Amino acid sequence: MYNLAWAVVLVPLGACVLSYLPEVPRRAALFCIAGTGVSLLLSLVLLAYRLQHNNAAPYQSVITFITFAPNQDLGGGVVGDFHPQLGIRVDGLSAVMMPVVALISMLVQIHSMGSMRGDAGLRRYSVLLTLGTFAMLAFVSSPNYFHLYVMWELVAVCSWLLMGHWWHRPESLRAARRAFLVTRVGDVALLLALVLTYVKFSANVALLPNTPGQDLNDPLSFTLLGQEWHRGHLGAVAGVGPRTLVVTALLLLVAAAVTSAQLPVQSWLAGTAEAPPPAAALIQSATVAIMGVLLVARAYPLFLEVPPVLAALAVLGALTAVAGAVVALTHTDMQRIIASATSSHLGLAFVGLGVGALSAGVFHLFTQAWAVALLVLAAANVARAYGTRDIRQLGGAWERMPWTSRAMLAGCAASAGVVLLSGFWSLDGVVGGVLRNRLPNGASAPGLVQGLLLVAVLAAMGLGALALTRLFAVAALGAPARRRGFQPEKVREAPNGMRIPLLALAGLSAVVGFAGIPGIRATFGNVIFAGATPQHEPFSLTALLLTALLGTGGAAAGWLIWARRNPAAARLASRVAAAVPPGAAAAVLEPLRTRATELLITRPAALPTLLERRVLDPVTDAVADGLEVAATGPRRLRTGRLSSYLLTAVAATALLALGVTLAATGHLPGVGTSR
Amino acid sequence: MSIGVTHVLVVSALVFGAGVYGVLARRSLFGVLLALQLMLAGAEVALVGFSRFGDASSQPLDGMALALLAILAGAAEAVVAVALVLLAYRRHRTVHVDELDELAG
Amino acid sequence: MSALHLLAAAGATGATGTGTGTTTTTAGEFPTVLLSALIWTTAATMLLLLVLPERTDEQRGRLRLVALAGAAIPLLLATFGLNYQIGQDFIGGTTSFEEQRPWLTALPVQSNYHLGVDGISLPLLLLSTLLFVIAMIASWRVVSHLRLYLVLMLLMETGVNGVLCSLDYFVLLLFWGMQVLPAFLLVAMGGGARRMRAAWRQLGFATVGMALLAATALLLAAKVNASPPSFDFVRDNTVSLSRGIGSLGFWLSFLGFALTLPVVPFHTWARDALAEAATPVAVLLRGTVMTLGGYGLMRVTLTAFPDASHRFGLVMVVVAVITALWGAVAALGEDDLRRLLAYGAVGQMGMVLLAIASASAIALNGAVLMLVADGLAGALLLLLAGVVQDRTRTRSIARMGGLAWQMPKLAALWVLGGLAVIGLPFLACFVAELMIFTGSFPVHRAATVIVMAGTLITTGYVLWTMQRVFFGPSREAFARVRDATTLELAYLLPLAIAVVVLGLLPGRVLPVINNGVQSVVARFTGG
Repeated sequence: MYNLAWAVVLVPLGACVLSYLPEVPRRAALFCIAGTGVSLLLSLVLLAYRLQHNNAAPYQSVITFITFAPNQDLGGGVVGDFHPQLGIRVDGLSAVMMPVVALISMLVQIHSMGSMRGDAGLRRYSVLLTLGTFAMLAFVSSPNYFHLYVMWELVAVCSWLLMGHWWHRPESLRAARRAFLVTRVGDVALLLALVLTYVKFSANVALLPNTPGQDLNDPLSFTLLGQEWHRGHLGAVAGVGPRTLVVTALLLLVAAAVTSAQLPVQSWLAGTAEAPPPAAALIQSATVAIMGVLLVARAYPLFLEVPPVLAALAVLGALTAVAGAVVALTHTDMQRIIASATSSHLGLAFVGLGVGALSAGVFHLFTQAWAVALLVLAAANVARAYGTRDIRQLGGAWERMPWTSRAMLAGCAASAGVVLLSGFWSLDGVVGGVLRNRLPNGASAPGLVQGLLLVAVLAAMGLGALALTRLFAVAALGAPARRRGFQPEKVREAPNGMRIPLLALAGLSAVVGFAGIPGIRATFGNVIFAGATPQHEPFSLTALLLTALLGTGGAAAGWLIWARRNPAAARLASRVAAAVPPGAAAAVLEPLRTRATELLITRPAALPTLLERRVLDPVTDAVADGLEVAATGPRRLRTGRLSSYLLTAVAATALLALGVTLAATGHLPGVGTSR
Repeated sequence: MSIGVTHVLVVSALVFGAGVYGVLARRSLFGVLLALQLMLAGAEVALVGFSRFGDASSQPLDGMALALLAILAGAAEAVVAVALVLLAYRRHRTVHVDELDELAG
Repeated sequence: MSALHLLAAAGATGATGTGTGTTTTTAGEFPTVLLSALIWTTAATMLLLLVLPERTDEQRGRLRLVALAGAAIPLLLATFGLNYQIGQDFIGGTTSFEEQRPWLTALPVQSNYHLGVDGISLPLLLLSTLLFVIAMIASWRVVSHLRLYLVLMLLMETGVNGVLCSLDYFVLLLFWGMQVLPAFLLVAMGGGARRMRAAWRQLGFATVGMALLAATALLLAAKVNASPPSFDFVRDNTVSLSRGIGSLGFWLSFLGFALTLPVVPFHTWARDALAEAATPVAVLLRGTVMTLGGYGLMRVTLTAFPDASHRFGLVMVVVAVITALWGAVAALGEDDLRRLLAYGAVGQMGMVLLAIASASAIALNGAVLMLVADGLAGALLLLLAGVVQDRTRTRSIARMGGLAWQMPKLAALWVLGGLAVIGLPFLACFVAELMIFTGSFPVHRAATVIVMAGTLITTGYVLWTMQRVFFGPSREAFARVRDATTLELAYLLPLAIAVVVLGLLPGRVLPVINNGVQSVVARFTGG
């Protein structure tokens, strides 16, 4: 039954290949949708099965990608075989995430059928979406770090190609390049962690008895490494000390933070605004952006051994959460607002993971995915109708685009954490986790850190709610600003194909949170924490009240300011905004960035060429010239005159004859006498 | 006084020496060619001489045959050489060896 | 000894091979002339070409076909050889298809015509023969001095293949010399405006490298305790040398091969030659000549002087790090498309040198794989650059842009090649990089981390170049340029397919490579 996961992963890949069969690009896109749909159905079956056998051990099935058996002790610390494996793993986390990825991807693709209609590269675009889906499905169901790394890279490349889909627009290119380079930093960190893990643990793993059903032990497998990290922590693995664990954890932290758009590189996510909007929705809600959080969730056993790193993760997440919310308040571009809010929410998920509330962190990811996808798609519909993404020029969508704007409202409210909607339940879990501040193994962060985290999380919640309300109120309510060549009466609701995904997502983001109602959340935690030790995250009234207060309160305040246009509130808001002029900040930052680019990239890049021109080439040439000068003396002998050559030849022959004669007659010492 | 191998060799050396002198001293390519033939002739004389006065019991005609071959080769060589000289003349309008210094590059 | 005796002796030993050391033979199952046939087919074709006329188009077409056939036969033979090897079950460190005939027995130092391949040389041989075929097809439009061009190319192939097959230093030197001069003349024959300068520079470096190699061979022959002394690999590569001699030999051979690889600061020949030569020639220089440098470092420097290599490992590592960073950073700042690729190639070779310096089995396997993978991907990019240069009439990246409008196929291939170079999974270089890093990390930690960070710069220049050349708004100046022609696809697609196949199935060749690497590693661990 579990081998169904192979089909779940591979069906989209097959759809990619098949989609090159039909002549019409639109039909190719339909192939892709069908493939994703099949994958979704299968993954739901798998999830249902998994839920019934929740306490079973994780299932995995692997094939060996390459086998490298050196047959001998290699010296230098590496002992053991190198046989990276690809495969599937079905446990709570992957069983839950696979349908999420598949469903969001399918809805996004359905939306694309409308929003990308007539695009010249429709086939390429659909294939890339599906390929990204394949890679992401494989990522969430990865059985070991090698597979995880491979799929991580594939997802990153697909997202880069998607972001650069409109490759004729320089801003798309810039955003895509930036995103790829940033995620590439994460790749390198992850690769280094992988190499380090292999080098440190392979010898020990080789000594272990084989896992049942496998003929060799993979030193990168999640299952094995979970135990190995613990043993390494206890000092039971030769050559592994606390430093190894800390370095590995830090590398994974870097990879996760960079990919999930945390400080200081959080702004790459905003670049998705330049991508085709459905692709942006997929990237933000179900592929690249959530990979970091999932990575930490996968490597949780390691992080539990090094609580300080976990605390650092939480602090980083909290800072990003606040920064993201603030930035979301300052942007005027719809997609950038949503991207910043996403980055903020990913930060909150990291906080949950960082304080030991693993299931709460993952649950937040789970609830936000729907809301984020919904918001991006809704914003895309609005932008398409109005011809701009600038919220100051929007307005009136409530009447003219009823479906889209109502879906958008649902998304904003769910994401902001309005009471009873999905974001509320997951935010409650994160706040509860911060209040409890206890890792499963009993460790906890210092009180000061806890206080900071609590303040930051609450602030981020409030500000985030404010920002999303602003987005909705300014973009959907009121009247559109007058612009040359824009006729508000021509604004129409998006066609069916672009509306239905929104409605589906709106419904989901409203109800999906009920899986995490305190008391029931233990079930979600059970699912995520497959195995014998379900995580116990008890109900906390304080957390519930705080979440309700800040989420709903923030939204209400925003409603007062931007929807009701309450003069007092608006004045207060504008005064606060004036105190933190974002324009001034940008004005300071921009030259700094230019200067940094100059110092870090342009100058060093010119250095090797300069050295070559000034040092290497002159030296080479000098050697050549020296040889030429040295050759001028002998060259004078080369007169070109026949007579001089002949004279030389005759003289040489005479000398030779003389020598031979002397030798033959025994007059030349040492030669000829021995015979 | 009977004629021995020494006399023949002296003649051969004289002819050969005259040839060498000619090759080195002549300025015209044709002169050089003639002198070259003279060198060849010197060597042929020596061949015949050795054949006549050497140990002739086993292969009496070897030296003669070789000399004949050398003459033939010399004739062929002369033909080719004259052709080359003609070509050189056509190209450079001279057969004066001091003016032909193309080998200096 | 008369010629007849020589022939008789050849017949006697050729059939049985030697049995020295770890060497075994596959005689009886296989004609042992496989390698001779592989090497000398091209030379024979060259002789045939010399007597064919090249006055009319028809005659030129015949020349091309004959030359292509002459280059294709070695490719078939190499494929056959590798395929046979894949099917074998190895014990470790075996040489196959061995041929040995006494040759220069009268000299004070004996030399045998001794050929054989193992896991290190066989994949490289396949790469070299493939690239020569590709280069032949890519030269299909060459008209002026066609016969000379083809003859030189075939002569160069003889030399390159011969080097890869030689198991005798004297024979190796002969073959090495056989590819130097044709390479020089080919660079000088066609290409950019400053090609003469590039050609001379290349010849200068190649000559110095050759001299260093000759010195290495003589040193080994002189110091080996054999009677009579010989140039044979098997004997020379297994002696223990004194500390001083070992150091001297290491430096001679390291410099000789590092010049060819090339490493900073000796990379200027590659920079100029790859940029100025005609595209097919540049492909050959990058894919075969540079590969010979890496091959020599493994086969000679590491194998013959293991102690000294261990002692001076740090030197190699420092050079490797500098080379890797230098290449990538210089590529980032370069505007000339061809020079940019040349710098990129140099940077990739830094990675190979890192693996060689660490001398662990995984890293060396990765290095061989990297030479092949990077040879393929780099050749693909160079050929694409050649086509782009042909269409746009410029090499300056600043003057290109938006070319994907007119040439979507070429753009797609370039994306593939670029992604392969930056090590995307399931493309050629990925497993190689992974193995290099895994193998060298425990030995040279800091260096590995730096080189890994350097791959970020590689990503940067690859992406940036791709975007500046192919993407962006359409340019008026290029409104009429054409996409890839059938001929161009005929040499680009095989490379692209090879890049993907090698990326998907590296596991097929790894056992073969590992078999060859074992003999190197055994020298290190004293096995």
